[in-house]
Amino acid sequence: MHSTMLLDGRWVSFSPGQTILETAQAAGIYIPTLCYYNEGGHCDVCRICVVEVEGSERLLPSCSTQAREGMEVWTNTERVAISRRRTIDMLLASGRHACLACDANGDCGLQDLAYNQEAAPSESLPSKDRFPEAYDDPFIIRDYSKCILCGRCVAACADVQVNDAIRNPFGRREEHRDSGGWFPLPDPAKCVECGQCVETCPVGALREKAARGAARIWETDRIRTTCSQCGVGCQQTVHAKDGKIAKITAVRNASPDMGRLCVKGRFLYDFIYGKDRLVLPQIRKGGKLRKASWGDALDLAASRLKKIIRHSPDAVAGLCSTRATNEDVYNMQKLFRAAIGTNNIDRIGGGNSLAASLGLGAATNSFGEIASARAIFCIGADMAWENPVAATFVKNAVRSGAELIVAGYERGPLSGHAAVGAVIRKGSEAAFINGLASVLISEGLYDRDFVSERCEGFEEFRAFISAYTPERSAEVSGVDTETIRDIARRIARTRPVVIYYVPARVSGQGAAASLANLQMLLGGFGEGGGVNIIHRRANAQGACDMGAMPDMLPGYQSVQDVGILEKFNRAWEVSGLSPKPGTAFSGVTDALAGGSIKAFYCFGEDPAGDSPAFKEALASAELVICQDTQATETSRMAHIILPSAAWCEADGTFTNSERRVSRVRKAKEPAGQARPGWWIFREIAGRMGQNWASESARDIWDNEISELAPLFAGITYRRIEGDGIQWPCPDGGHPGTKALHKEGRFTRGKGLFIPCE
Amino acid sequence: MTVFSTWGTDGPSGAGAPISFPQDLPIRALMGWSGLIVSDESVDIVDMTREYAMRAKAESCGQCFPCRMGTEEMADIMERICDGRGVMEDIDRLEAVAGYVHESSRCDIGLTSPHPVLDAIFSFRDRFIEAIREAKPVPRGEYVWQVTAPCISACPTRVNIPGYVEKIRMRHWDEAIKIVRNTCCMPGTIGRVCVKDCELKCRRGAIDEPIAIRHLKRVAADVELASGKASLPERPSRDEKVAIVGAGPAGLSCAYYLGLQGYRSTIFEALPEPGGMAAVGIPDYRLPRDIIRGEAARVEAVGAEIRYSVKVGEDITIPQMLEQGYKAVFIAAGAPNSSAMGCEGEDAGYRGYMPGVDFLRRIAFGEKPLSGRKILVIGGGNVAMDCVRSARRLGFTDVNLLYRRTEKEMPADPFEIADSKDEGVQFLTLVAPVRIHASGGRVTALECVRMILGKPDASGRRKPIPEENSNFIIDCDAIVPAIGQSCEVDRFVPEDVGVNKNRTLAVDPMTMRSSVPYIFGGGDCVTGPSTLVAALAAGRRAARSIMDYLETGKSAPRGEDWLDQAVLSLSRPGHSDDAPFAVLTHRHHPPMTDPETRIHSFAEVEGCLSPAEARREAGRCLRCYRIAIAALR
Repeated sequence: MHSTMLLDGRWVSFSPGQTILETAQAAGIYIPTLCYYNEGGHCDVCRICVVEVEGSERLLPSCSTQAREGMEVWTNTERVAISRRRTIDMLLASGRHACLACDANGDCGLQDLAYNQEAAPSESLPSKDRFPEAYDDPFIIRDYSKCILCGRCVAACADVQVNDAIRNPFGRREEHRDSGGWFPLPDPAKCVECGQCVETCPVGALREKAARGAARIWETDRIRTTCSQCGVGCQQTVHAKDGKIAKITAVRNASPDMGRLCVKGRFLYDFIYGKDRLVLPQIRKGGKLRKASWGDALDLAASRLKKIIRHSPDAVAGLCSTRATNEDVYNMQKLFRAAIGTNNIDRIGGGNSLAASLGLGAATNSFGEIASARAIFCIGADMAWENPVAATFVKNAVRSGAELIVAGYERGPLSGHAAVGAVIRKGSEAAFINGLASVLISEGLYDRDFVSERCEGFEEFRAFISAYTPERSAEVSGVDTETIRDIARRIARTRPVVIYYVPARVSGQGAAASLANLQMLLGGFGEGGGVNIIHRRANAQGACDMGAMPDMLPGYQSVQDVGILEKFNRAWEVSGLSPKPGTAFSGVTDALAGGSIKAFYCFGEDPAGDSPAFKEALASAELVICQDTQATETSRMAHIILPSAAWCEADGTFTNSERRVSRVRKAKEPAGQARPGWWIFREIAGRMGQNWASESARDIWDNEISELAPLFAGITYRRIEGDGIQWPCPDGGHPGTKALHKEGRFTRGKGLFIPCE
Repeated sequence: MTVFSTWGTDGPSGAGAPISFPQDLPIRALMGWSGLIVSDESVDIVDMTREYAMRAKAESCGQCFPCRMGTEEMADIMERICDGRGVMEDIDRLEAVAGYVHESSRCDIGLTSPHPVLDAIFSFRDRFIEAIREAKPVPRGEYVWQVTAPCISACPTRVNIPGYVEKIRMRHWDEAIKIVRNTCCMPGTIGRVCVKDCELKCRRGAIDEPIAIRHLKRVAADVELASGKASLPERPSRDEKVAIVGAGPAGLSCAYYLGLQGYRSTIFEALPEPGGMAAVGIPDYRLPRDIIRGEAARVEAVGAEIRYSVKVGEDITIPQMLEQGYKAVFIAAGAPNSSAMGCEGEDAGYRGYMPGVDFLRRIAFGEKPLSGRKILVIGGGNVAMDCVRSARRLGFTDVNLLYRRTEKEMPADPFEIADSKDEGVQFLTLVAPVRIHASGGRVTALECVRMILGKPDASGRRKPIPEENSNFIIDCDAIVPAIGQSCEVDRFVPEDVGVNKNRTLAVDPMTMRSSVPYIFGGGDCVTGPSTLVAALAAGRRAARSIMDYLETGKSAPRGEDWLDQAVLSLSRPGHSDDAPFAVLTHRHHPPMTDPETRIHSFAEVEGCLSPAEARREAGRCLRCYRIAIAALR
């Protein structure tokens, strides 16, 4: 239902609850603002947006006054202008707003207002000169002489990121005699350097330290991309000048992060400039790695591979990066399957652990569902450290009254927000969860209807769990039995519960399946309930999606399915793709040592650095090809090194831990002679007699991946110019899928209880 | 006598007849949120305007820009003029800034504080011009000030309500509870059972629904309790000791505020339990005992000793207290006796008949004082409600409340009335008891007469008159009269202490001092049965007078007290619709145990809003702060 009001003499419509400001914005009428910060729920203090409303003796703030039927509003009268100008004049006089040398020049709310409202600060105004000194911060410059005390940073810290590092300073002036005013001073012990305060500061008071003097706003290219730091996949704006990153900011209202970044995403991008960057192809000659041309290196790689596969294609094994783009991964597995002729392609970790239980190996929910969840159960590493932006949504939910239960490996920052915070031993996840399941079953707290109608394997599971008393669970996990019972009862009481698992580098087996068992007992699949794993690596989900798995082609299509193989044979213009599942990476060490695998192609991983046993086995390999952005233990053992482009140096896509395919864009030229990963695989394939048509990341996705994998069929580069789309997305009109297995309609039919410990 | 006033007019040139004080207070001039009142022309209006502007600047919270920067500039201009450095443009500039602060600020500090400044410039412009022309420092006068709000003025303890509500909104829980305790030492208790006159005056109430002022106090207290991090303020240490009669709210409050200033006190309590009527008169389902005990423990922690089961007048007398070295005595003995109904048989000592206060007290000590199926409770106040609801919980299945007027005239809290009905209590109105029928010394029935309402009596309520020949009989197992309580301070105070006809202690209402300089009194034993919050306020007021007495040998009203009186007389009844475009909101209601469950135990009925809900509720506050200053005679 729409109502109408008179805005500057024009009848405009609005929906109930809309403010005058929102109505004006929708009608294209400009009302200036300064403190207005919708994401932080903050407004109403700067009074810049005041308007005249017929029937009100005073001016009213348009940001917090609701539109009403028949209301008559004037947004730009002389009276309004005088009030605005007086506010701006006083602001200009209340600090040292030296625009010429300010980093915010051209990107400043106060400067814009001073210009638009033709402010003229009077010389008779008392100019203040007492400002607090900021402590030395690694990433942030704080200049309180430019602070306008608008409160936005306080809201960003308290209500958006929920770190509460900046105490709300406002209150009677007399309370502030010592600090000289209401300055928003952060507590360095609480600040986690997320930089959300910098993001929201409308003036030059809070700025990025690394960007100091790096570029004026009008000199930069601003490129939207996806963060490479973890599995959340936050959206970033890279500000680049002359091929160098000046700074990174968030993208307002973007999914999944809603304009939030963490310290890693905002400030830690220097890795692409690291001194260990591989910038030239190298070939081992006479035992030493020497610079080579791309032509020589690629020729050599192709000829050596061809020689080895003449005896057996399965003598080649590959390990694919979980940080590379989907298009890179796709081309790597295509090289292995179509050109080399083996399924010996795998990745480390990543997301397929729920497949056996539920039918799809991916998180069941969306980050966007967390903030409105009623109950959240987090297990594993502390999300606030590993995936800080996802943790902000959890903290938002707690702030609005959700119950949070944390079972972490230690008492991390998220535990501080939990109703119950238990500490479990690393590797004991399954044992701990079995204890919860045992309480749910023995106390009759589980969803009987859901279990009998939507699941299978329950009787075996019940028999298994009957031996898993809370006492046994307590012994393994280190959590006392009362806490185990308390947690079980709490998650049974407030449903649905959304479960998040954050694996550590080394985590126990069976955690994901155990959590699936637990959620099946609770019967809570759908919006606001499910099982989710947040991956450490940016494209761990995508690596699996793209078929860096010994038994799955892209889109979780089995290599053993004849019809599927035929489809890929046709598409890749080959015959005889192998129907035999390849050797998983876990078997490669033995196979290298035993001699059945002779060549190892490593892309963006460092298995030799991770494991001495692997390093020893690798020493016996006939051929080691290493494709990476930087030198590693593995690359030092390589016969051929192929320098690959890093994040920000090539186009592509990442799939985050909520199945969202988002664009990764090139913001600068690759370092040295580095080349996009997909290009390198394509060049080698070309030298092995294959002519791949796709000449760009976009071609690869639009013409191959989305054509071949029904899960991604509706996703094209054009559709994900802005926000990414969550698979499954079967066709071009499909909006993507926020929550999987709604109401227990599992992909695999019925959910399967899998006893594990 | 008022010689000049702009009070109550809509600005200096506006309409409406100006108002002045109704009573003769020792105030030479007053500046406040609605104008300026002068009763002594020699007051320096220019200097007083400076003081007012300084006060407005000090009270600005810094959030909205016009008030933050505008009040500062107003104060700067006035400082300049009063230092002899003013220029003629300053007057116009002051007017312009004041107008800007008034029309653009967020809360009432900015809305109202320019008002008297503009009035002063308009009406006394020549004096400002003169001060600037003379270019000499203006002598600084002395003033008293008060920051209030409709809710604050409505509260006997004058709690800074918008202050703690704002701190809750900011999640500064520790500061919120500190603000409450500045003037009200039992936030957990009062946050549960206060009569909340503040909410009646809440300006939000005229727009949608009043803020849950009482409940927010409880949330703050519960948050502190849950955190386990209650801290005590620093306090000096002194030698003088004060004796206090009664560990009810008045006694505890007096001991607390004495304690904060380092004065030790001993409280002599007749019961084995702290809290007085709050503990043994208010049932646990409204106010759990551990809450009062916890708050009494805090009073002990600041330097009070409570001696239980001591009957003053029997176990110790007031002269003996003086002999033991107590320098002053505060009498807060409450109103523990039941009033008579004037009903035949009430003195006969029948089993099954028990006055309400005794009934509640015995329940409070774990007894089951009455039993049976059907009970009649006579009365319409909160004690009567406590009796019927307690009876329900004792197992009476047929619980009836008899009241001689109609429900409309009942003095009980409307929520109590609704809660009683939810619990299955029957209301019989326009009925008065005539005679108790008994058999074998045991109550069997009550003979009643029907009433009709006549003309309004002294209380303003229509007087009930018995209807002729309308007597009827109600069979019952128990009868509980709950029609009022009385005092008997003459039982234990020395003979030279003035006592009123109704056996309450006679004290000066400003200083709480009795006719004897070292004896003070407060609470129900002075006022007759009144509210818990009034008792808390009386205790604090008395503590201040006692400290004055101990330091100077006498106690007299302070300047702030006169200003407080003036402010009360100037606060308009009701409120005009001056926020016509405020966003409509809804009050957050705490969860309640459902009636089916709650009648089976004395467990607390009202739950607590979550901190998140409390913050949203706090966000509804309009901060109707107003500032007043006065120059005294």
